[in-house]
Amino acid sequence: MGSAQSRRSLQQKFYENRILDRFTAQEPKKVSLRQLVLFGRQLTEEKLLASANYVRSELPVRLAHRISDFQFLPYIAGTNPHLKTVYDLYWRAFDEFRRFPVVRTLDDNRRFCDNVKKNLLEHSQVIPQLGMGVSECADLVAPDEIDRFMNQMLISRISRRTLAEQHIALSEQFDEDLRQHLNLLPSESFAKLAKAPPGFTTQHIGIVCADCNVAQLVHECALHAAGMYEEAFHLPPGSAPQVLVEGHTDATLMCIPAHFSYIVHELLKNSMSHVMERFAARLETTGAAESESAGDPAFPPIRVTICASHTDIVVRVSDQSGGISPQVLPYIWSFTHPLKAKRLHNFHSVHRMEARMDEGDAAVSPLVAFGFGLPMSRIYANYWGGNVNVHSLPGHGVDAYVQLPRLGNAVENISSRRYLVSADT
Amino acid sequence: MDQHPVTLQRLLEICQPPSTREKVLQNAQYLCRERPVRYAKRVKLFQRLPYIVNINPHINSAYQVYYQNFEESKQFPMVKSLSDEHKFIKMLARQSKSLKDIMPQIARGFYECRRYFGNDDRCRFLDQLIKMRIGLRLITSQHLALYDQFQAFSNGDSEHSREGNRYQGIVDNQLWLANSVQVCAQGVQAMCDMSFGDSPSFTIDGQTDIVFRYIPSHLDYMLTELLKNAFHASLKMAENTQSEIPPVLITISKGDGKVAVRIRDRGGGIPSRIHNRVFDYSFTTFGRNSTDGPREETPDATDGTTSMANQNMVSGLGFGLPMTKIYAEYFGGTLNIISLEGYGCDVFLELPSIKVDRTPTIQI
Repeated sequence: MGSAQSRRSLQQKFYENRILDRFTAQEPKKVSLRQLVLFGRQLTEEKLLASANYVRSELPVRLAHRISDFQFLPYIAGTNPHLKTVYDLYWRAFDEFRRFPVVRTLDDNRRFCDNVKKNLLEHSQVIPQLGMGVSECADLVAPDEIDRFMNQMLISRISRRTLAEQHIALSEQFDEDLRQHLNLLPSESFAKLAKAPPGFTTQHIGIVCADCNVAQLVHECALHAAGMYEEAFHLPPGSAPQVLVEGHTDATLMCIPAHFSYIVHELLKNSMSHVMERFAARLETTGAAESESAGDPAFPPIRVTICASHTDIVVRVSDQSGGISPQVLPYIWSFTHPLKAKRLHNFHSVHRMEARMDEGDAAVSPLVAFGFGLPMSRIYANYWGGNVNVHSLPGHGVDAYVQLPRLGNAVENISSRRYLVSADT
Repeated sequence: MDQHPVTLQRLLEICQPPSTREKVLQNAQYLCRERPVRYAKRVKLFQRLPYIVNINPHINSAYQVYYQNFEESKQFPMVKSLSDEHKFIKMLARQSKSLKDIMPQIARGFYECRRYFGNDDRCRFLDQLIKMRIGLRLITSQHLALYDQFQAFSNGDSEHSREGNRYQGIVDNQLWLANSVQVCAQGVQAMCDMSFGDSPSFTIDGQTDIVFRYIPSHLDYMLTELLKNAFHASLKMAENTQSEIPPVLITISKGDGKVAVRIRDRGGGIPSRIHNRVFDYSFTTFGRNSTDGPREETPDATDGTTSMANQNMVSGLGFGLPMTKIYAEYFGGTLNIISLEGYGCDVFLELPSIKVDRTPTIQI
C-alpha cells in the first residue's frame, strides 16, 4: 500500500463510486413465488426476453446495495484480503451486468445466460471467503454488526442466485421445448433456434415447485444425511439414527425445493451427529451389526412432525441428543462467536461452497463442521417469510422448528442499503 | 418507605432447624415491620389507577380490602411474646382469607372497565400486583411454617423434626418432579371428567426419577394450568374432528442446574391471530350469554388449589397463562409456548433447582 500510484488509484475509486450511487438509489423490484409460477405458466419468447432484462437490470441494483455495505464496514475490516476478494468480485460483476446490452433475441439471451452461469461459478467461493474474512475480523468489529452484515450479504446472495437460476432454468427448458417442437437434433446449429415461431408457448416454472410434498422431501433429506454419516464414519448402511416422519404427511407447499431441502438437511445433520455423539458408546459396545440383527436400533430415533395450517407449514425435528449446552446456546445463530472462530478456520481447506444440500459428497466432508448451518438455514427460511427456531430440553434433546408460508404469497425479504443518501448530493 | 426485600437465602434460613422461640419472635417482628410497607405499595398501585377505573365497584372493593389490611397491619402492636405471636398468626390467617377471592374480583372489574383501561396498562398493573402478591405470600407462608415447626418442636413431636431436613418451610428439598406431574395430570383428568364426561390420557417419559428443590405449591399451580390448557385443547380437537382424543405427551429432563418439563398436545395449536397475546390477561368469556362476566380460575397461591367455586372450570386463555409465566420466572425459570397451528402445542417449562449460593440476588 506504499506507492503513490496505488494510493492515487485507490482515491480514484472514491470518485468512481458515483456510478454505484446511481444504482443504490434504486430499490430492488421484489418478486414472490406465486409471481414466478404464474409467469412461467405461459412462457413465450417475449416473456422470456422480458425475464432476461429483469434479471439484467435487477442484479446490478442488488449487487450495488451489498457493495455499499462493504463500503460502510470499518476501514480496517474493508482491507481484510478475504473481504476484499469478495468486494472485488462483486464490483466486477456489477460492472459487467450494468454494461450488458439489452437482450432482444433468443441468441442474446443465450449469451446472457452463459455470462450469468460464469458469474455463478466464479462466485461460489464467496461464502468461504466471507467466512475467513469474518473470522479474522472477529476482534475488530462488534459481533452484532458482523452478524447483521453477514445476514444481509447472504440473504441478498440467495436472492440474486435465485433470480439467476430461475431465469437460466426457464431459458434451458424453453430451448429444449423449442428444439422438440421444431424436431431438431441436438447437434443442429443454434441458428435455427434464433426465433421462436409465433404463438409458441411452453409451461415451466423453473426451480420452483408449486406443490412440493413435505414428507417426501424430508425422507430424501434423511436418506442423504444418513448416507453421508455412514460413509464418513465407515458404518454399515442403516446404522445412522432412524428418522420417523409423522403428522400431516400429505401436506404440500409452494417452495424452491433446493432451499427447503437445505434447511431440513442441516437440522437432520445436527440431530444425527449429536445423537450419535451422545450414544457413541452404544456403537462400540454392542457393535452396529449386532444391534441390527437384534432388531433394536442403536440410537433413539429422530422424530419429524409435519404440521400444516391453511397458511403455513411447520416441520418439527425432535431428537434425544441431550440438549444444547448453555455455553453454546446464546451463539447458535451467530456467525462470529469465538468458539466458532476456531471452526471458521476450516474454511481455508474449502475453496468452493454454494450452501446446497448436495455439496456434502462433493467438496466438504461432514467432519469439517463450520458452525454456519443453523444461521444459514434461518436465512433461507427468512428469505421467503419463514423462520427457524430451536428449543433445548437440557439433559434430553432438542426440538427444532422450521416454519414456512405455504401459499407463496410472501414477497422476497431482502433489504436495501442501511444508509440512504439524498439524491441531490 | 422502602420495603426491605428478603433474599431467597434468608427465606430458606428462617426455617432451618432448630426452630427456637427467638427465631419465631424475630421473624414475626420482621413481618410486623414489613407487611404494612408491602400493603402500602399495593394501595399506591391502586391509587395510581385512573379515577374512573378505581371507582368501579369490584376494583374499589379490592382496593378497600388492601387498604384495610394495610391499616390493620400498621396498627398491630409489635410482637414481643408468644401470646402476641398467637394473635399475630390469627391476624395473618384472617387477612389471607380476605384476599382469597380477590383475583376474580379484580378480573371482573377490569372486564367492566375495558373501555377505559387498555390491554397494555392492564398487563403492567397485573404483572406488578401478582409479583407483589407472590412475595408477600412467600414470607407469610414461611413464617407460618416456622411457627408450625416451632410448635411441633416444643411439643416434642419428633416425627415432624425428622421431616425437617426435607422441608425448609414451604420449600421441599427433594421434590419428586414426575410425581407432581402425575398427581396434577390426574387432577386435571378428574376436572375434565366432571366438566366434559371424558378426558385425554397422558404419558410421562424422560428422566422420571429427578428430584429438585422447589416450592410444591408453585409447581403444582403451574403444572395444573399448563395441563388444563393441553387437555382442554385435546378434548376440543376430538370434538371438532369426531375422532379419538389425542394423548398428551409429557417429557421430563434435567441438565445444567435446571429441570425441564415439555408438554406436547395435538389440540390444533393456537390460532396465529391470538398467538401474540397468549400471555396477556384476557377474558375467557365476554358475557355474551350472561351478565355474569368472565369466568376465571382463582389460584390460591398458598396451596395451589382453586377455590371451590371455580374448581370445575377448565378454561382456555384468561389469567392462567400470564400468572403461570410470572410464577415460572419468579426464581429465574422460563416458560415458552410453541404453537404448531393446525396440529398442536409444545410447552417448555424450565425451572432452576432453588440453589441458595447461585441465587444470592433474588429478592422476594
